[in-house]
Amino acid sequence: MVQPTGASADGLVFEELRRYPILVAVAPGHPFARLKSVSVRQVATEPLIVLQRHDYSEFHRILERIFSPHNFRPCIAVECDSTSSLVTAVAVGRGVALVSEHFKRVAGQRLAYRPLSGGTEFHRVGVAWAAKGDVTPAGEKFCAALRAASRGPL
Amino acid sequence: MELRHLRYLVAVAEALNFTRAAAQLRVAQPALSRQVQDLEEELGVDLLRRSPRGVTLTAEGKLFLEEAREMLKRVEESVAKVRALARGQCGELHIGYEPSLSVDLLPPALAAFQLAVSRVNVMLHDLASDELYAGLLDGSL
Repeated sequence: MVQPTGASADGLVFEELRRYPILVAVAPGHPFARLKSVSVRQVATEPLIVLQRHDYSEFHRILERIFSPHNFRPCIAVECDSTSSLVTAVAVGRGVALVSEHFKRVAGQRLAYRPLSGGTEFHRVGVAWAAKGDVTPAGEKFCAALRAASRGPL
Repeated sequence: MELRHLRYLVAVAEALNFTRAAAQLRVAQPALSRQVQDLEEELGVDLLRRSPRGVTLTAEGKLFLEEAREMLKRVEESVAKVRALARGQCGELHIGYEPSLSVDLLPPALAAFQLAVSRVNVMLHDLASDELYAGLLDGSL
């Protein structure tokens, strides 16, 4: 899961396993696809495709941390209920999306990806459990398997 | 009635002799006799017919012997299950994950986990981040 922050982190223990740079995902024919990288300012001028706030509050906190240091407000055009609908919305040119690097493996060649310049935010991914309550022995073994996998190749 | 009463009865019924059963159980023969008598008194029936040449089972004894064996077997299975659960070798594991994150770490971790502990039934839950937080806090994950 993505690292919970703010109120979402209350009552949870999070162990970071990997962090991924943030990329700008665009349709292959989008003008950004010809750039080496895309700045936060440039992203702010485009319609932004996002996951819906109701279910993906952490995604929106990441967006806030990307845009607020630059005093830009993203122009949210579409809120999607899943990553697959987000991929589709970007692929048909309804806007651009900010995604993490591993997202490329979900969406494949349907989208083009460019590094986000001027941003310091990473997508921190790891394993979490409730601070109150025990992790079962099987849960401990699975966490160990995740840690071992995180030491493998990206 | 305690488990030892059942174990003692089974030992005597299988040996058909108090002395041999006592030796197998490594208890004194009078103590074994006393325990079986206590069991019979508690049940209110004779389980054994005693004679100078040994013992035989009454009809009630034959029925109770089968029941006792089943109960002891069930206890052993329960103990084995609980110990396996404590070692993380059986039971259920509910794993919540965000679909977009699943491509990287989850498949190799799951493969290694299932190879190591194949008796754990893994339940995968494809959830949005806020559902994950709720699931962790309410104990469903």
